[in-house]
Amino acid sequence: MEDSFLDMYDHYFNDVYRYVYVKTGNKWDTEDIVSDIFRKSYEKFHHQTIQNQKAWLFAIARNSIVDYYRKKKGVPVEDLELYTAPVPFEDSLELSEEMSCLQKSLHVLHKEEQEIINLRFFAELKFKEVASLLNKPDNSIRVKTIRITKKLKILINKCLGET
Amino acid sequence: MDEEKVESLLHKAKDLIPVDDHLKKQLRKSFESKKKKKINSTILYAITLAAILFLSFVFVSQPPKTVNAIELLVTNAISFIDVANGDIQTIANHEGRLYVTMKNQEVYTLNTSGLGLSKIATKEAENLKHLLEKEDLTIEGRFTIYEDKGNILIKDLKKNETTIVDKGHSPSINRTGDYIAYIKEDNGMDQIWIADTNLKTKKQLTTNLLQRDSTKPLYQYRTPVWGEENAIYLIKERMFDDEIEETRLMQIELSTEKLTSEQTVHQFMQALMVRDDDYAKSLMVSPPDFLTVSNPRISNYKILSTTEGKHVDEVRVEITRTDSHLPYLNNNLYTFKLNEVDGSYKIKEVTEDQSTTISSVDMKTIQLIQNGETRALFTLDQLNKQEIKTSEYRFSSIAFDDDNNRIYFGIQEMAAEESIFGVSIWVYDMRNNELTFLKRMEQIQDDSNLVLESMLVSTDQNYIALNIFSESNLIPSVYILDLTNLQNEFYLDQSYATYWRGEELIYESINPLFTTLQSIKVNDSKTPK
Repeated sequence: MEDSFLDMYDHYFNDVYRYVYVKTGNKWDTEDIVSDIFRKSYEKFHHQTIQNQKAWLFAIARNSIVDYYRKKKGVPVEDLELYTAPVPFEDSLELSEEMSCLQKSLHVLHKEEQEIINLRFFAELKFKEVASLLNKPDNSIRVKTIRITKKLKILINKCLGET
Repeated sequence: MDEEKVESLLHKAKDLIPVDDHLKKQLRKSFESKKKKKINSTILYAITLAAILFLSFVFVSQPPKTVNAIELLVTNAISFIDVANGDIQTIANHEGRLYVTMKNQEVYTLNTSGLGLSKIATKEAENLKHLLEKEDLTIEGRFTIYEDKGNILIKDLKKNETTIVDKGHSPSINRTGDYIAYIKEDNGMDQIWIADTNLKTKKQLTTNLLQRDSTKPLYQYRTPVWGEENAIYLIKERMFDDEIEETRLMQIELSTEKLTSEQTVHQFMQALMVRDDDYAKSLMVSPPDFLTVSNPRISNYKILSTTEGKHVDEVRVEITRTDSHLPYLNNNLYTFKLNEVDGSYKIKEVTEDQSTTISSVDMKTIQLIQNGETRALFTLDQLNKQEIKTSEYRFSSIAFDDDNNRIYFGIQEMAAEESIFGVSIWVYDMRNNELTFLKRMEQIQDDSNLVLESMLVSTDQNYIALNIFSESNLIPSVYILDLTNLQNEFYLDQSYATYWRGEELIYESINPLFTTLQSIKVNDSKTPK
């Protein structure tokens, strides 16, 4: 049992960390929240049968982020999405032009679109898992993702043309 | 650029979002440690928990009758809980119990024995939460306390008059409503103060100091809270530059009865070993700029004699400093001179009388340096090789029983391919020049490859406490060997021995969220319960 928790930890730590980091945009909050997520999941791990560990872990992650901001900053939960920072790429100075255009483009996406990108590409969840987390039918996420990549394509091309 | 390229960019972008590997490792460790088994009671049979450690030592008087704040003396100040990573959010007193709220919103309460914290169930914690957020600063029908523009004010509810108590913040009222404890900043440094609610007197309790070679204060204090009788609890943050190095819970005990000069020296030594520099400093008349160093650290002390004089008391103390992992031990005799300042004893002068050093320069020979003379005692080659299981090994820590002229030392086996390494404990009798093997260890619970960090001989010379950890998990455990009967060994999981106070071992019990300072007494009865 214990080892399987550590297995889960080893497997998904990076995904969870990146997901939270993209949401908060700063290391300090990320550290607090990520620690909280794994502590909570550690406690719960023993008391339930978990079908899909990753989806389960991300459900805890999303709740923890909401809890964190509710407690910490008194941010109304519904406004949480407003608090996302630009995607925190490492060493943004040295980013390729394309990458830096992607970063800018991501920032102008709607918050729900950002969330889908974060879950799908940075946390590497399956469409099905994203759908269950966002309470949407599987197919809608698939369709939405296609739409978002199209939108990003236009934005990035515009950005590349302008620079 | 097409959609496929966008997708591939997004996948690549993932790798540009950095992951904090340090956090990953540290946090993982906290779960690894949770998996360790609880203390095995069959091994622990001869150890009994001592009574309330920090209250029992000197605090013998009845709760004092109400006196002015200025007449209250600090009889002990000790950081007894170390909260890892500054996870502590706040502390509060509610109906006579001290509650600690962590940043993750878990709530703990101080055990009534004073030993450690217990977690409050989530539901109960939810109910308590609003009660713990802010102290009620009103005493019905008498007064209310509040803060305004950096001042603490008191409003007399009968006369409807408001008066400034002092500059400061974070006030807390004691149970009887006679005193306020608060934080006051002076010269950029936090200090804890108490004041009478009748405004007669006030008094500074702490002696915060500067960081070494810096103009920044060593400690930051937060949320002083009155406990039941005359004890104040607070969060104390030890700073390194502008970063919080450690966050601890401190208890300050107050009494009208002053400590004796000998008790003062006990408290001073405790403060040095527990690294409460602010308390240590408050016990000195003219303290040096900085006090503790981590290695070689003070690992033991013994009070040899106390002479009471008319104006000055003299306390002779033997202080042992040892290096971790290495064969280095220094025993120094000191004379502490104390006199009374403002109603309590303070250390006026410390002189060094005599020094003994046991160490190894070449790591092959252990030598004794006494009165300026160096004498070789024994070498690595003299050990019985059959007791050592690896081809390479070295001397590790040393402990010294100077009453019987016995030197205890560890042999650290070194990692070799595919083989398990351990540590062995030996003794050298200086009187007959005899080397004896005592014990070898290579496993703690399921973890092998042991490293000996340090060892401490009890004041009565009957026990030796070993701080040992396994290379695979780095969480220390304490082994206590009974030197009068080596069949008896005691084991404390996830613990670190700090020092012996008489027959009591003061040790840190390590939890993922916090470390508590505890004490155990090794029982005289050697029979299992």
